[in-house]
Amino acid sequence: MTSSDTSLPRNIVEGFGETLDALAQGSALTRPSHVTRLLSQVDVLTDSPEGFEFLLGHMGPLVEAGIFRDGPWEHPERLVPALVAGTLKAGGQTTLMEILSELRLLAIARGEIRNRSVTAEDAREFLRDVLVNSLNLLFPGETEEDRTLDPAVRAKIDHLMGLLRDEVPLEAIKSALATEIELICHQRPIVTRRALEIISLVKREVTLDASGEADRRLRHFLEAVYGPSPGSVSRSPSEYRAYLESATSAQLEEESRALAATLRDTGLAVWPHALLARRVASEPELLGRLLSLSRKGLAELEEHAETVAGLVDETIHPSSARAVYGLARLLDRGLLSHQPVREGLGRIGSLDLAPEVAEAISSARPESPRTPRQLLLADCLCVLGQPLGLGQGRNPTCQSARGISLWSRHAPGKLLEMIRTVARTNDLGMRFEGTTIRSSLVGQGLLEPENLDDQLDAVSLILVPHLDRIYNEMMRRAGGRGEDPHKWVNPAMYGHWIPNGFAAAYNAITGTITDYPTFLRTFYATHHPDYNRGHDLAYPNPVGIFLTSSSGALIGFHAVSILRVRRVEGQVRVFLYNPNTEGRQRWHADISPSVVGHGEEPGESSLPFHQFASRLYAFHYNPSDAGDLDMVDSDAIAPVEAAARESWGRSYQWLTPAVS
Amino acid sequence: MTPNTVALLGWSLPAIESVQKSGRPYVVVSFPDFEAYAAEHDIPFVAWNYNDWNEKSNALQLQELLAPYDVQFAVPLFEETVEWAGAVNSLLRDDPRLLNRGYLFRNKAMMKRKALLAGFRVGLFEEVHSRDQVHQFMSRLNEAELQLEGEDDAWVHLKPFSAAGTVGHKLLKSHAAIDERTVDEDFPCLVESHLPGQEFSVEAFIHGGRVRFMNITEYVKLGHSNHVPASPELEAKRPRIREATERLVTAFGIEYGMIHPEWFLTKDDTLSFGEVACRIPGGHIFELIERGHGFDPYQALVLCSDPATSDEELEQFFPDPTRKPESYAGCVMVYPKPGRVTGLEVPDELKEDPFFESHTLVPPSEHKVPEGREGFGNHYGTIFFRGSDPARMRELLVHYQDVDFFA
Repeated sequence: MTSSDTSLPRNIVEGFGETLDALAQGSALTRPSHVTRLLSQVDVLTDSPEGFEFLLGHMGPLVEAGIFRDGPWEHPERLVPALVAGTLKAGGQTTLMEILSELRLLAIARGEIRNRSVTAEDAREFLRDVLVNSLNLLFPGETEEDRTLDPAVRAKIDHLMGLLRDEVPLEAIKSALATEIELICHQRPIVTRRALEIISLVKREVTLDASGEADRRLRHFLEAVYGPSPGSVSRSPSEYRAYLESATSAQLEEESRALAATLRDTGLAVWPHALLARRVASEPELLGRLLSLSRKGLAELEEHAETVAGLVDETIHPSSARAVYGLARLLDRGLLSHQPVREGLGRIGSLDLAPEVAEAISSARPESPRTPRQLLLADCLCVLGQPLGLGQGRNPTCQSARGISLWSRHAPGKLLEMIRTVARTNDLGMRFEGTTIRSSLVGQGLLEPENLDDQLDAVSLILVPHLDRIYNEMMRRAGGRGEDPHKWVNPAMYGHWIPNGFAAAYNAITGTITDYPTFLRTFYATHHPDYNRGHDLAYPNPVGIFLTSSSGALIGFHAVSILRVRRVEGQVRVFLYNPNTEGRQRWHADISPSVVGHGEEPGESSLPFHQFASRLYAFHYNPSDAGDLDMVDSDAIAPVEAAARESWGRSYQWLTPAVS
Repeated sequence: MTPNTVALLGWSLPAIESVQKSGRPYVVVSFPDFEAYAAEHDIPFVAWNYNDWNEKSNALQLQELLAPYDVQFAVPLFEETVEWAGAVNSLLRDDPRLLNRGYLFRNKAMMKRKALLAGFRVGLFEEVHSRDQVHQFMSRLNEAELQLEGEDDAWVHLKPFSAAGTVGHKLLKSHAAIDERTVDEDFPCLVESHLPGQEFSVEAFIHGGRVRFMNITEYVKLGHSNHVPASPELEAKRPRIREATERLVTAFGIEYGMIHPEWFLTKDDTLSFGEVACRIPGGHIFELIERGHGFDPYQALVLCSDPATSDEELEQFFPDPTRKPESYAGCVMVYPKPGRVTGLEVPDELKEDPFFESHTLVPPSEHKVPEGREGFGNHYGTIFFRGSDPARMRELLVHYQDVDFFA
């Protein structure tokens, strides 16, 4: 015990000691009730820094007594730093247990207690990652989240962050912060908020040295956001606008080059990009330079200069600056030469929005003075330009996001038509087996409307609620047929790009795994270059994967799309689109797709083929491609099956013997 | 020598843990729902549905199921297991009257008649089968009270014959209330006149027909708050209360175990009998006894229920009755106000109080529905206090029973 104990209430210190003894002496039978009472005392102790020190000094006895036993925090080696912030904010017993969990790691890091699976170095690394993933808590700002947080919980988190900060100096997390920003930016998301927030925190809270590798990397992003060009670096937006008005052509040239460089490097378009784009909207040469277009993009710009100038005027504004990057990629894709796209954008640009749609867009972007229609059109450019930059936000709507991404790539005209329909009528109809399903006439989908995370692009914001309801209705209608309903729903939902062959790992009626080797062989035969004569996919293949916790327990199902399969440095890898906002999402203990380093395009993530196969539960294929399944080596699939059985497979009954 | 094997009738985790700690062999008899948990935690278990009583499910069958465990006595933990314990003990000790005593505890009208015959002051009571009979009962009470036109009706308590504690208890203060608050399912039941005075309970641990330890639990508000030991004012009446409790034990013929009578004491020292139970009392009373007196009341219950326990063991087990209490242990059971259960707010004032010990309040979303076998009502959590000043304790209990913790 430390001397600061004296400032703590005697009844709490004594009561804590007694409850701790009761917990230590009790068996599993009464542990839950002792833990509940102990947490009410921890609640008081975590109201003060002295209480935190007291608890930190008692982590050994607390762990021994079994405070974490049989609960989600039991094994410190299985905890995930990225989840800590959310759990801390949950309130109640959850917050208290999470605080104790961090204190245990802190005690391990300081060498005050020992753990069989976590070394002091592991613990320090974990706490560093917690800080990197909890920046909003570390540097409480004026975010919406902070405003709704219970002040008592806020105070507890502050005390904890204070302790962690002492243990993990900010300097030590510079490199982790730089990596975080780089990897987010590398994926070129449409919604750049998280990257911009971290950069803003770094600007506010971190002192950067002149030397140092991490400092240099962070400064690169700071400059990209807060001083991307000589003209904008020390000017306010209105001063910069005035500067651009009177700038010489050489100055405009220089601004374009500088802003193009940061756009190319980071994918981050900020207000100077927007102001310069507006200034040079009718000067294709400068605009082309600013947008850092490919040759194809330049040709496109030249051909449709007037359309582009109109689009810039309508969509680009400091509060919708990200559309500068979207426009650039749209031009590079040559989509304006595609008549349905040109026409579709024009129609959306002159649309009367349904009041509910306008309200949804405005309330998600309260800071923007632009009209909802202008914001929608701006994000149409992004969605068409960055199909792999689409994310589902914190919504359970991976299916819908995957659809929008697929249509952006392969049916942009159809997508714009859907956007237009929803924007005007707040309703959407899709055909399913001879009848039309109208979103306004069917029940709720996976998404609870009041829980929609609105940090989405405006296209997703208005489309997803409708797609989600329709998808759910299709699943309902296709249920009970004795097979996984995705077999019928995916082709109906996404369109004729989806082949009709369908394989599922498990039997939908019995919930058993009936013939896993054939399932795997079919996947290898149709997708692996060693067996499918090296054919590439023509269209993205919507597939279902199992997500498991680091301990292997089945967490749930997720929808991704296979984009391509390639041999990279001797290893066959699956490249995929993950509608989860973060392509680095962990799928299993040691299975996390990479987003860079193996030839991934921005927005793609990739996994070695066998790892991907071991997560798969359903995919589509063209039956005529399947060929002779026996060609697929048992040696190739045996380890895949073993990995499956050891993780999600534990939640199912297997009716086939393991591949020998 | 291995102690006698006990059958615990009813599912109580603290009781199981206490018996485990005492080293006594035991078997738990409870509903089949608990079988999986028991197996997982190596708890000797006999699945039994106490609600089924017929030619295929009776004490003889239960005795057969218990035979492999060499059970020598049974202890009822909850109200619904009391007559089963009586039946099993009757068979084990070959004494049919034990079963009848079990019934005595399970029928409040029979219990009151017995108390009346033994010379206790009880309220006026009747068994009623309809709402009309309640009206008649109230009218007769009014008559006896010489009610004048416009004066309030006499208060009538309506209680199911065989429910634990306050379950199903309705206080009817007027003829109108009889029609508004009773439902057909209430009948038949017991009605009784309102007993004046301060209500408290006694937990008397009995062995060989003698009271070996007697705790008095002071009710601050029935079903909401109480503390152990009782205040000095009430403890001053201990000899009188002890005498009455011993008379009750003799009259009811209780030899082994524990009884939990509720008494009313008026300012002029009139003691009235409310009712008596022989199972674990509700309202966290066992937890308060453990904190207030420093012994494990579950172990005490089992020890006293075993005829083979020696006087020396009992003397060693119970604390010296003349010992002055170091502190008072109290609790408030928190019931959320209707329609207001969205989030939990524990006021700083409570957390900073020197008497505050701990609480078991959880936000409603995290709240786990308590196991339905417990004898007390469905409160949402409990606040525990401890301190040396009984007056302050009472003040706190009175204050916090009205605080709304669920914003």
